[in-house]
Amino acid sequence: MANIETPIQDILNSHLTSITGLSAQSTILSAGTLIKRISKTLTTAVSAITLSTGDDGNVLSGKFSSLRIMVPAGCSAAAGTSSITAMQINSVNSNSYRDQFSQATLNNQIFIGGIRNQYGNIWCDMSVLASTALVIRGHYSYSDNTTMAYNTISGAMPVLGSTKISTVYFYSSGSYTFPVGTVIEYWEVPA
Amino acid sequence: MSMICDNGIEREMTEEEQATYDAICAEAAKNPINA
Repeated sequence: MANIETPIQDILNSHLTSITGLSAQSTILSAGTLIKRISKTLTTAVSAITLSTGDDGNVLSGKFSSLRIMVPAGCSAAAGTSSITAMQINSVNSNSYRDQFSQATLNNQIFIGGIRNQYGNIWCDMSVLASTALVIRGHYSYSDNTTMAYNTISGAMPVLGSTKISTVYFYSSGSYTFPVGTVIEYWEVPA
Repeated sequence: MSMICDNGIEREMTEEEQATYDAICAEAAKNPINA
């Protein structure tokens, strides 16, 4: 019988270990801990960003991931013009993505939002489901204190070809740039 | 060449990277999106 001073977590771990034969604590942690792997502030305006290793130098390997882009004013898109951000996962470049912006057709990239020469952000959560299906959901918004726009986004890809997200390549699909000062964060739950 | 941030390193794209980027931008331009 457990001592009444034993932490509840220890009791739970012991119980789960007896049921599964696995290390309950590691099972719980690997199932749900969202870890920040990358934090980067651009010092040069760029058109594309590749993420495949974390700030610790180890490869990305997420079954759930979250990409967060925070943009100061300064995007190279002309006033009134959107810079559409698109993404490819694991270097898959085939007509296999479908999203909010291309509901009628499959595409070779997934569009995750728009920014303008205004303050803005894009937040995109990605999950690998059913072993290899990728689904995303997120939102974007931008404003210059006078005008504003915002929307939710969703998309999917039926066959990722992997059980994990190891490479994220995102870019301005209109040849614009992410400005100096853009903050990029990437979080993941390890696969 | 366009600029890329490659795992935290900001640099010019290689010719191959530029060609890939130009190709997907050209593909995206076929269906203009307003966001």
